[in-house]
Amino acid sequence: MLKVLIADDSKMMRVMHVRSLRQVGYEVEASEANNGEEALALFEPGKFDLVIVDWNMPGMDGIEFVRAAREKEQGAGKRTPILMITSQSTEEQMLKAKEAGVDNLLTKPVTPEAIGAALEMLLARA
Amino acid sequence: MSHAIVQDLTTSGRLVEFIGQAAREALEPLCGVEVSVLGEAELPWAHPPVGIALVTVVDTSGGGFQAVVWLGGELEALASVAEVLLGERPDGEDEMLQDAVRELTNILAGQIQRHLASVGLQMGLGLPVYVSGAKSLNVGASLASGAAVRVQVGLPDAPTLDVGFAAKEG
Repeated sequence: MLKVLIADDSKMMRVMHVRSLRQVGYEVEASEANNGEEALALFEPGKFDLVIVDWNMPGMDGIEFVRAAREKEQGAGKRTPILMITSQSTEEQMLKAKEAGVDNLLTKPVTPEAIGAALEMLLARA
Repeated sequence: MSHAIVQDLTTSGRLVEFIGQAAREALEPLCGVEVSVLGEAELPWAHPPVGIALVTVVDTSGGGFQAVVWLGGELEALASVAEVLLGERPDGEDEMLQDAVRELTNILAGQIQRHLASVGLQMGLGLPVYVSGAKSLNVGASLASGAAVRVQVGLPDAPTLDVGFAAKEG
């Protein structure tokens, strides 16, 4: 069972991400957050196998959440793979995401296969 | 300088190309069907769409313009596209429909952002906003620096949507 935290202000995207993961063969237990604050309240080191996060969200955005989540992990000895799925697609933005602690970034729209391939790589690395 | 580039893209017709490409790139993978560009959208609308979502765009390459990306359509057309994405048909102009249209517009704005970055325009995207009953909204007024296209999604009822980008010096 893949425990996933999905942070996206769009319910449609949260539904689509879960559907995509199931489509590529994962059994999924999803916790959902509407923004960075909600995601951070749910996030604990080692609690999730994967975090999927959007960039643009009202309140705390995805980048701020990732920075805060990585801080929470300091000293815990655990690093949760974080996959950012966002409309932001310039090189500068990709670099900023990586610096914040994002492990992989996919640009919307994403196919289930693209999510599956990214996840396989992240889980192999974890 | 940046605004001059947008005006040049508008005059040369490249902006129309960018928007058409962005619409296909955003909608085809999501809907799993072909999307055709029918041509430039006539603006201002004689019959404004019921639903429209906007993403504000800010020039981050040194000032020069503010812009908006929008996606609009009749309620039935928006519902047909949302149904494919959600797996169920929204009930009228409910939160599900609004969420789907906002998110689609956000994805479209990201694709347009990528095309404009290829000609040196760096843009930041705001959060998408859904506007209901957009009769008073005349985004066509600022098309001196902008363009809009009408696209048809290859679903059984062939829904058509309008996608546009309009900029002003700011």
